[in-house]
Amino acid sequence: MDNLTNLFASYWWLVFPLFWMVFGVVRMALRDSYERRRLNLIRTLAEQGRDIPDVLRR
Amino acid sequence: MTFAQLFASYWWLMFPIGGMLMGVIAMITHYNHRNEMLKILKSYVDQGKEPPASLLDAMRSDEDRAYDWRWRGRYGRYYGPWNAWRKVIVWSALAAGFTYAGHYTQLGEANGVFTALGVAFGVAAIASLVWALISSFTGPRDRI
Repeated sequence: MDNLTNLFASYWWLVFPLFWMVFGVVRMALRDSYERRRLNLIRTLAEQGRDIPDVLRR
Repeated sequence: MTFAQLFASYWWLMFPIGGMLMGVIAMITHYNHRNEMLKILKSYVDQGKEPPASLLDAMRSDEDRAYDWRWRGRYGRYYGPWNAWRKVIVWSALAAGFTYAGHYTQLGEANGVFTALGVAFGVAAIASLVWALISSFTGPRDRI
């Protein structure tokens, strides 16, 4: 316990960069699923020969 | 150090960590919301129907524009000249501050460090100025 708390006392600030990295990875994963879905929808529209709505473009 | 002492020293960490967790939850729910809207759109498209205009308007409002020109994304980074000029201002201010501290204050040996940092920030300021000029003249244009 004592060693662990000492370690935490020395490196508590690492919480911020580590959390930021996790945040970035989660954001990338979410963005990826969203982009796949968006492109899939665009492909479906294209296969049906329909116009792509402007909101689906970037 | 006991747990009570540890808590007494770091209780304030609750607030930043709580804020970070809220940020993560907000981000996840936001993406879920967007994904659900895409699913609804997809079901319309699969049936060969036109999606309602209100749905398209709701889609229009945010996330995909986060990476657009001059549009400050809530979760994404934003690019474009406003951001570039903002960097010029920040680097210049840092360069001026550190150079001033290095020259006009009596800090002993730290003066050299401050001057070195001032020079480094100055280089960053010049580089970001060049970048801001380039992106101001050659960046993509607004879509709307």
